[in-house]
Amino acid sequence: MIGLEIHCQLTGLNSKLFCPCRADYRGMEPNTNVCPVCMGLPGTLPLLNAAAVRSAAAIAMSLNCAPGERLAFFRKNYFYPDLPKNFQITQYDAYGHTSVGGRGVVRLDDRDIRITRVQLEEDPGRLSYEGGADGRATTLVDYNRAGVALVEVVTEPDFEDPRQARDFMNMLADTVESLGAADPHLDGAMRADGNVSVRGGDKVEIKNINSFHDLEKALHFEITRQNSLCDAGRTIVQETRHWDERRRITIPSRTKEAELDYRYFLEGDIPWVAMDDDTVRQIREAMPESVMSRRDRYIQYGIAPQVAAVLAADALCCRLFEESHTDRTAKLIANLITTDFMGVMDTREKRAHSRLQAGHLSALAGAIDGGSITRSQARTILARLSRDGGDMGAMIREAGTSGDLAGVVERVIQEEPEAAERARTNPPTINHLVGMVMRKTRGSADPQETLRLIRKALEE
Amino acid sequence: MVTEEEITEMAAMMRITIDDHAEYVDKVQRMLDYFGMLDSAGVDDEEVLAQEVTPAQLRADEHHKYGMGTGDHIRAPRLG
Amino acid sequence: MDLDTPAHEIAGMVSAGMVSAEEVIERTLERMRQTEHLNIFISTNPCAISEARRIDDMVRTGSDPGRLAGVPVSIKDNICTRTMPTTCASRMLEGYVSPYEATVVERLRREGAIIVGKTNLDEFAMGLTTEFSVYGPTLNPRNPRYVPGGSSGGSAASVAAGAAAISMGSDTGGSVRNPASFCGVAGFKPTYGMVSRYGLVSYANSIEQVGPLARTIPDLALAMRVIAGPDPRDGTTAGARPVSDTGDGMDGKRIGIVEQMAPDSLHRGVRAVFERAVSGLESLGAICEAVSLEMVDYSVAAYYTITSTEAGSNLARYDNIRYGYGLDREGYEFHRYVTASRDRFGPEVKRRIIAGGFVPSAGYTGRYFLKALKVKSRLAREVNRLFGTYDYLVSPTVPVPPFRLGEMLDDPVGLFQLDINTVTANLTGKPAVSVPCGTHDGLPVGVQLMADSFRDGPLLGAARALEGIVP
Repeated sequence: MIGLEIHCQLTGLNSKLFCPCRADYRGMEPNTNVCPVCMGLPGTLPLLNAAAVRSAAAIAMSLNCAPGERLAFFRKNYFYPDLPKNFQITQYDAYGHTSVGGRGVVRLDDRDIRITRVQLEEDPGRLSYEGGADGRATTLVDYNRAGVALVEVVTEPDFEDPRQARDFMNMLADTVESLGAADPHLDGAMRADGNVSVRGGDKVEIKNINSFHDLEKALHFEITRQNSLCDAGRTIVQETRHWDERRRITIPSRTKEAELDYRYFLEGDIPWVAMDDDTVRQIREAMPESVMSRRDRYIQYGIAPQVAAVLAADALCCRLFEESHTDRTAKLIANLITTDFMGVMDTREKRAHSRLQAGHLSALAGAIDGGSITRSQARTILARLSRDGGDMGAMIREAGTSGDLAGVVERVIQEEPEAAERARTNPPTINHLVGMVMRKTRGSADPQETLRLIRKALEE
Repeated sequence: MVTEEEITEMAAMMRITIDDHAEYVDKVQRMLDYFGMLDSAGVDDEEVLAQEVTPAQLRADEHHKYGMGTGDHIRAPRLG
Repeated sequence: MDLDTPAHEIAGMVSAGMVSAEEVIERTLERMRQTEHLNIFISTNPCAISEARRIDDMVRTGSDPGRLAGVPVSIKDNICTRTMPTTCASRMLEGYVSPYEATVVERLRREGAIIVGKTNLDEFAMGLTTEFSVYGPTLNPRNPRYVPGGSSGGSAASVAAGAAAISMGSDTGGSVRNPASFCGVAGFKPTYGMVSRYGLVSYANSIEQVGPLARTIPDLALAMRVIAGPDPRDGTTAGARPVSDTGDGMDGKRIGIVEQMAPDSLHRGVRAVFERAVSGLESLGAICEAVSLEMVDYSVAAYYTITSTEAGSNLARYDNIRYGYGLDREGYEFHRYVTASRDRFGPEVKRRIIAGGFVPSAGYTGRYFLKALKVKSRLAREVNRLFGTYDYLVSPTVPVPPFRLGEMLDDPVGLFQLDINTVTANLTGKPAVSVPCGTHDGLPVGVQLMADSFRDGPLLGAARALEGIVP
């Protein structure tokens, strides 16, 4: 079974979690997005960002987790060069439920995924290395990222395979994006740790997974590794392993067990935040519709539940759908998006760069509905539009003429079954059919195109 | 009663070198023994109180540039 | 004027042009040189004279020089200043200069105060004798063979010696009130959250406050009016309120004498001073009655449990990576480098850091830390209940008179017991003041008054009344 701990930076904020430095540090010179607070200088105090609390609470509520009545912050203590204070301010439910989100359950495909908790914490700085035979003689530290707000979502081990884990991460990415809390496409904005256990053995934690794609790979690797150990009669011991991006394997961490005593205790510099009913209601009212309720609403249009689920889970696709459909075309547009568009643009990244617009979809659906183009022509047009953009009106007109021609071809074949059968067994006799079509179109059809369409129809 | 070995381990975890071993062990043990009297305070059913604020009292999400920083990495020793 | 003139009078004379700020500061610097043997200051302000001249210019041109115009103020060396180092009396921060100024220092300067120097303390404020300083002990100006108390010993001594009219200390468990008592000056621990801690180097951040020391209670009140109030850089000050001018007299006020803070075992010299003070309050019309605070017996253990834990974490940042002192990194692995760097902490600090590792450790969390928090909460409930009936609580500030240098150094737990009367105010967040009320064998003894949260103004009024009846 697999459990996840997903970290998501609140890139939608203007400032860090505890100081007024930028939340978006990307592209800045090292150690220029810093101040005495995020550098942990003596005498400085953390100042909790109000918008971070609201964003994190909205994410928690989207995952059906109730926010704590009072939010408390804790210190997680350990020495590491990326931590300016040598402790991280985070949340921890030591004295009742004081984190930003408590237990919740979300439905993903046909399974319930239990959320253990949602917490708000600060991101450490970034490390790189240089020098020496192994290139690691000096640790270079950049604190531009230190103190950026992170929301950590911890799940129970409710995933059976890596694909589900990735689906969950995608769903979460869509959620934070639709809330405006974060841009999950930014490099390193979403990161995951996984817990893997097989055949009832101890769980192994996999850290350092920095992309959606690697999450699935790393989990697969680890499951295979544990299964082969089991097959060889060896026991799995509880440990922490790192995903090595370059070698694409998990390797044991060098941290000793004794070092994992984080000595959590209350952060006295941050008063507890009372999440009164008014505040919670305001946050809820400002939230866009959740993936789950969107899915249910889509089903009301007569859209198949699986199609509705796929559509509802993707923020971009939802927007396209919402802006293009009518009651009459809803089902058709849902299918165009989930089978045709998502078929051609098969990753979130590709879709984010696609040229397809909502107006294209309404026009295409109208054309199909009015009979001027066929469903399969629509697919071709949609693929071209998504990749290259272009003049859709012209594409539909062009397809429309060939659409008429395809209709004529279809009729001729139906009317002349013997001629069609002959043409299949004796290809040169196909000219008879071409002649029939030319006669029906009064010579306006393009002979080459007519020939192609008849051949295609005969193959079907 | 914490043992000498536990104190040595804890010192290492807190990144503290202890030179006069016996003296440290003795004094830290006495401190921890003294803390142990909390066991008899009879406060198990007490709720933990804390200072509270409303979300409206928190810092507004505004960016201000502080203008410190080097444009260079900070160099730390090799990580073992 | 002379150097024992209260701060509010100095400011009045400077503002009126009756004396120049330059003269006040020159005489203060002269006093600092004369009292060098007491080892009060860690560093002095090289710009003090020119800053004083700027105040005089303001007076000459008719602009308002502020409520503390020309007043010499000293700052405990764990409060950040931009123009002088902030060492916390530790080799760990030798020569460290903060890039920013503490809020209290900013507010003092804005009102025309002249910062004359940074005062000695126990390393990172951990101690109550000012003997645990890398710069050596500060001596008590009343008798140099005796400790000045601590950890704000340099601050108290500077005020007692006339080397500052007001000093800023920090009070974690009595660190302002204890040395105030030992040096015969007044010291104030504000309600938690009344005064910004931005720029105070944290020791035990959940209970400590910056607090003023001065020769008179009106000077404490003046200092409080300048430094108190919400600070957008300290989230715990969101509820701070203005300090009201005075209380409304002692007549009919109900005062609780905390039994656990004046037990039979109380030092007889301290008892004599304390009983005289209580009679004095009664003679002003106050009703004094014995009250009980059961949790006081556990308060010191809870206090050291919490302070060790927070100190262990607050001092973790001193790893000599982002700032610190020169130590060749060559050949070191990170963790070994950090351990080697941290060898600059003194023995008392090291002991508390190690103890502070155990308390929140996974294996001990329930045993120590949670219990300490619960004792703290129970104590607060007991105190709140008393403040439903009583206006103030009274006790000796310290259960013993000042003792000689070196006398208590070897007994950490014995030393802890000296905090028994002061830690309650820190654990409960209440304001408390130490008023010099007499002497035993020529050495000062202070009496402590405590009030309910945010009644800092009335408490200072009560302290003024007590001060007024001291012979």
